[in-house]
Amino acid sequence: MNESEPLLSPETLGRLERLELVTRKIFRGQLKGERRSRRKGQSVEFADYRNYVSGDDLRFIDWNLYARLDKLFVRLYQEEEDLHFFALLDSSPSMMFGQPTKFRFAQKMAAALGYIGLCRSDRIKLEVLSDQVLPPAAALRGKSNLWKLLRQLETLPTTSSTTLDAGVKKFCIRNPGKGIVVLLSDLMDKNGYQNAIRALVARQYDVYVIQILSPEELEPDLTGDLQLIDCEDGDVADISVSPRLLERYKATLQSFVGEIRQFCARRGIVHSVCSTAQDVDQLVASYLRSRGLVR
Amino acid sequence: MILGGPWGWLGWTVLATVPVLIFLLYFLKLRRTRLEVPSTFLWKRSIEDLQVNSLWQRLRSTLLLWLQLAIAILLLLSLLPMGCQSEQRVGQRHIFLLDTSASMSASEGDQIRFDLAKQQIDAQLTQLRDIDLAMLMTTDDEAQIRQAYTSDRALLRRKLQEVAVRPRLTRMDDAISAASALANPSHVRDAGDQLTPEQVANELEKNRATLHLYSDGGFPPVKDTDLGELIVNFVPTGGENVRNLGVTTLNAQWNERRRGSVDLFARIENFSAVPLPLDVELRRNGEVIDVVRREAIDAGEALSLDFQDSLSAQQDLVTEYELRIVGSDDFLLDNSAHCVVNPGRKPQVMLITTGNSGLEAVLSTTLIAEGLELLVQPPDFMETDGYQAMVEQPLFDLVVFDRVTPKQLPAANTMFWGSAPSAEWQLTPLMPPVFVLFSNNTHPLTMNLNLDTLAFLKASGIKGPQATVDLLTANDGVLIAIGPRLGFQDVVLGFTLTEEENGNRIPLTDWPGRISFPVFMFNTLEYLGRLGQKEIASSVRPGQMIRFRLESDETQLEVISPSGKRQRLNKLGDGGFVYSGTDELGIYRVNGTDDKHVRSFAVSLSDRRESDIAVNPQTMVGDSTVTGAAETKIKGDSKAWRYVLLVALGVLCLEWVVYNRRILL
Repeated sequence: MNESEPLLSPETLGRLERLELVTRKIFRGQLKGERRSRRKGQSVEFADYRNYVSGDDLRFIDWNLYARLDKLFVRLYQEEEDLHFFALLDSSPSMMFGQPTKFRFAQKMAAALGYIGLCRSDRIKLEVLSDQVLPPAAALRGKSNLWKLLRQLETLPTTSSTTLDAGVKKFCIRNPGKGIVVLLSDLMDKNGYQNAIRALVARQYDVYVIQILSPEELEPDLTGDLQLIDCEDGDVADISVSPRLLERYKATLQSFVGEIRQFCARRGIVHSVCSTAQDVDQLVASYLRSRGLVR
Repeated sequence: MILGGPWGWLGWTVLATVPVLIFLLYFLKLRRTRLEVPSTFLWKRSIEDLQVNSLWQRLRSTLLLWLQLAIAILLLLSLLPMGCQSEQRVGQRHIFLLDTSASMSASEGDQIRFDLAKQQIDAQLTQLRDIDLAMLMTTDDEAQIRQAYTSDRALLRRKLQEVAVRPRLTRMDDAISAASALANPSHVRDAGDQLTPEQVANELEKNRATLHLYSDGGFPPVKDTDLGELIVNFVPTGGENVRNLGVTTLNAQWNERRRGSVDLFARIENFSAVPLPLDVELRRNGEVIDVVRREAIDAGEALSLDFQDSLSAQQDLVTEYELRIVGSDDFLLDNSAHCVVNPGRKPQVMLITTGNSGLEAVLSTTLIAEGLELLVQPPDFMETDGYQAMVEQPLFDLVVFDRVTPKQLPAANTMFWGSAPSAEWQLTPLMPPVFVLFSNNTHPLTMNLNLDTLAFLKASGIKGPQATVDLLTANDGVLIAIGPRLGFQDVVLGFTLTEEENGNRIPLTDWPGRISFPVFMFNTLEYLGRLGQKEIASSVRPGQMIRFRLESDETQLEVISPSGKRQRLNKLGDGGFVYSGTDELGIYRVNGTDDKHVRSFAVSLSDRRESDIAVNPQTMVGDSTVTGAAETKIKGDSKAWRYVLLVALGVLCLEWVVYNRRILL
């Protein structure tokens, strides 16, 4: 995988068309969609009855029941509505590391998930974390907008210097609606990830956190005496690499990931860790499916 | 552990700061590679607890620093003169005495004993400390101090390399006496009364020396030596299982019964522990003239051989004999021996007489006069310094005393007519008639002479000292006898040819008119004066001085050694020549003008003690028996620095590997 590869290949598109984004919450859709809603509405699929009250549309009175029971009942139908899907990409400098970069990986992941949404007539919105209040991105709907989706992904602003917390809050301000939010980030924010996730949960989004890490972060191949410089804040860490330190680093990483997973699990958030060395198609088709994001 | 040495405490303190400096410099020079990472968040958390003891944690992970410190410390240790001492730092004195005699050239495997001994000494020199003093001495038949006391090991080694084995006999007493004198300086002994016991002890302690004797033990016990403070450490060099057949004797002498014939006697011994076959060649002037072969000579046994050879009558020819053992053994120098028969010289004969026409007439005959140099002196000559010189030195071969008796006998064979040489001889007048009973036909002087019919008017009977041989016996006593005197022989005749009476010379015997008289005189001159005989020169030992005379008027000669070295000799004031360069075994040729070969002399080892090359591990030095030790250890530096240095180099290599392979803890 490299930077010049298209975000979605034709084969991938074929595989993704059979998938569907899943939400564990019922959201009020703005437009009628293909997604069955718990809301009762005007569709062809019968859902339930209720007593007639004054003012109800007489067209929905079940006259056969009135003939048998001599009581007026109104037929309720299953409402089919669309789903709001937000792909929230972290574009901080730390995401620009790796081969391919973690940000590129996030773009691909967003493209795949977005296309799944487009195929299901969901409302797809792509956002990057920014400390500025950007105009809301245009929501995309329908497979025909795939090219718009890809263009938006390719033109997303990068190297944002905002923190995760601030970026998420700004996102929440820009997007008051409800829906699925997939946060694509490495979560390597020294100010913490907790507030950001809490903010999303508070907005009652159905939140999925996909933590993207590069192989260099998972299995660092470092030797010697090094002065590590944080690309985001210029912070310096002097280390003398030794097997013991590497073991300690891996343990710390595991602990860090475990913390996030525990934090997310406590709030009903699905947390997934992905390596940029993994194939996005396979991830979406198998891993995210097992994690319940798609089916 | 000793600290001090050449730099003192200040120097060592400075050196001790080196590891500390390395320690500090390590941190100064620690240059970390800058590396940009997505986040130091996890790294910071990882090293959080390590930074609690950051210095020690860093050191623990810094293998290279520890390796460098280890190298520095090891190098410092290598500079330390490690050793143990008691209260005071006193250097030891060592005297290395190396036997350079012939037996040290015996083979020991691929090397000779001498080289082995040199290697052992070299190894011992390595163990010397800087404060120790060592001396190098060598001995064969003369002791030499090759290098006086010094702590310069390089100089000692250089001198040791210059030493070479020589075909000489072994004399150890001089060398050990010299070593003993060095260890027991006379000024301490002489001043013993003035010095306090502590001062004497200090002086002796200062000079206390250990004599390391490297020899095969082939020397007589050294008894008359006071070792005093000298400690003798005998290091036997060589093995006991040797193979050696050696010629221990080769002598030549004239056959007294066969004129012009030489008898050669040889003795060959087997010094091995096993029987050895024998194959011997006798060569004359390089040509084999006789061969002796034996299947085996038992271990420790000797074989005596005798040969007989007839020489050419040509007067001026030199005959060289060589007895050679064919084959090889562990010691080659004794496998041959030489002797030489040189052209004879005219015997020097002196006649001291008041006048004796009969004797003078016989001595002036052509056959005799051409073969000798006759000097006639009156009896007064015996009072002169010239005669005194004859007493002290063998200037004449034969001195004839006619009716006179000297106060002191000359250093020469003598012939006394009518007088006794000394009080040991008694002449008793015989009552006439005097007639001969029998003559000794076996003695060279009277052999085959008809003396039975001689008539004597007046004669005396002779009674000589012990071992006197009667040559002519009369009816009432012995008329002619010959007796030994030290290395000479005295012929005494109990009669004279004539007698002075009233101014007339009266003959007392009819012998001068007989043919037997000149024959007897010729025999006497031939037997006692070596008239017409060549000179047999038995070989001399290597290193001995050769003194010889020549009849010719040569004032300069050239001696050619067996290896071809040439040396000019000038005639000395006494008319003789002296040559002292007898360092090689074999025949030395002496050439006169026009490279004429005038004589030769032989140098042979021919010594049982040198030929007995089996190592003697025990010998007597002074009052004690010294038993050899296989290896000596000089107490002092073990030169551990070499090993420390090796370890340091190993650590350095390890560091290199670690650095290049990035083996990190």
